[in-house]
Amino acid sequence: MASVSGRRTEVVPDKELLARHVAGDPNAFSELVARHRDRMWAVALRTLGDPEEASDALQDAFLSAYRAAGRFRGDAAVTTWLHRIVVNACLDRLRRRTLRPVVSMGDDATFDAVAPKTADPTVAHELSLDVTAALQQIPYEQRAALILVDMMGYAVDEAAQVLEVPPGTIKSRCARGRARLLPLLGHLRNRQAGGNVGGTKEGGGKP
Amino acid sequence: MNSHHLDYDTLADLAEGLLDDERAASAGEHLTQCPECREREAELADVSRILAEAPVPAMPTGLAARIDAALAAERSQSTASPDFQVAVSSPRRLRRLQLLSAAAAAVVVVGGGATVAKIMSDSSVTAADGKASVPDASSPRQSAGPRPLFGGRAPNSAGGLSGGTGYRVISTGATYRDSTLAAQIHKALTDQGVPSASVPACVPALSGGRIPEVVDVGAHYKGSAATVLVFQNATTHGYDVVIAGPGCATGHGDVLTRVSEPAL
Repeated sequence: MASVSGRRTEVVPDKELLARHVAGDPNAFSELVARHRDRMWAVALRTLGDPEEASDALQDAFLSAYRAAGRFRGDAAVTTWLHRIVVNACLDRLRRRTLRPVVSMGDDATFDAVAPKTADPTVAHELSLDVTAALQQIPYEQRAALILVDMMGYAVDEAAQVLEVPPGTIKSRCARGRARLLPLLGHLRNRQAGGNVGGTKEGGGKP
Repeated sequence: MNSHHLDYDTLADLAEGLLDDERAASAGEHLTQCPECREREAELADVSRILAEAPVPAMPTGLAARIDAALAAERSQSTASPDFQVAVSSPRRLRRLQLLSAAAAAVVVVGGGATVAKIMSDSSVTAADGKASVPDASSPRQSAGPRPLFGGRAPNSAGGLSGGTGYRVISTGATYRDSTLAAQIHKALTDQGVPSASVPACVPALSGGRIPEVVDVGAHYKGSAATVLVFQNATTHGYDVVIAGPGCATGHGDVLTRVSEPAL
């Protein structure tokens, strides 16, 4: 299974870094984290919708990966493995949320917390928040599939490997999720119809 | 059929190739004649495009440093907690596990007044691919002392088999309900139920490398035959419960629900 990491230009492959970490190299894991944390952050935030929870989940996930590295089997990409750990860490938090419900997301405080601390909100920024909020309205399974396939650019088979379900299930979750998201994202579509210059890809683009 | 407009679910399924031939042909034909549905189709394609183009939100200030600090703290500890296992399942590995499961000996252990069946992994079993390697079967509750951080494991090794560990398999016949789940899990954990020698084929697919505390192969859930897997959650010290449907028997996940229960 090919890695979907967009950073294959790095000199040391992910698997080699992980092997060095297992062998005791104190810097190897930090390099892996630095390499992938942005993508893992994106998955965690979009899955949980709440930056604070996403931060905790990401930290949990990297600690888990750190400890479990010795049990990593080389038959999948390190990114696939890391994504699964992040997804599971998020799922753990979602489950706890169902047991002990928290205030719903989408409030202004949440948005403020995700907002860049510098410039005025841009259209792109609003788009990101709207999409993250809309994703929270659909079932977890559909959200997770869409995050991996449509947002992160994973192939269906790779997403299936991350989420441990058959590829057909991923397809069906994506299809249902898109149908559910459509009315929630309609305003973005209209807004973009005129002035979408940055878009280059049609459909689930690769990163 | 052609006179009816296509709803978004149908169009989304069509785009993913999920419709059967007949429905796909009918929908395709309708699309050639119906600008309205073509517009809906375009709207759906836009959903994927909007998702793909949504900018990746920046990490909060300080999070990278916080994670680095947490990892440094972890590094400074001389022992690792071996209680969190994450493994990547591959078809090859699943086959290997299934072969092993089929060859596993069921041993009846009597203890504390309860009779439980243990699926014992037999380290002498060699799988068809000629390797004796199987996923690490050490269970958190059975690892007595602290272990060295990377206990002599070769990088990317498939994980040596620690023989003599496994998980309990019971068959309670109980109908698990969301409202009573905590009590039922407690019951399953405290050795009630008929021990079963059957091998739940979906455990490898659902365990994420963890070893379940107990598996109830004779359960029911929401009107369906079910297999209930109970894992200890190393973080919360509670339990993660996965309930799988009939597809479990074929080794597929077939997850009906996943629930976390707080510590009992």
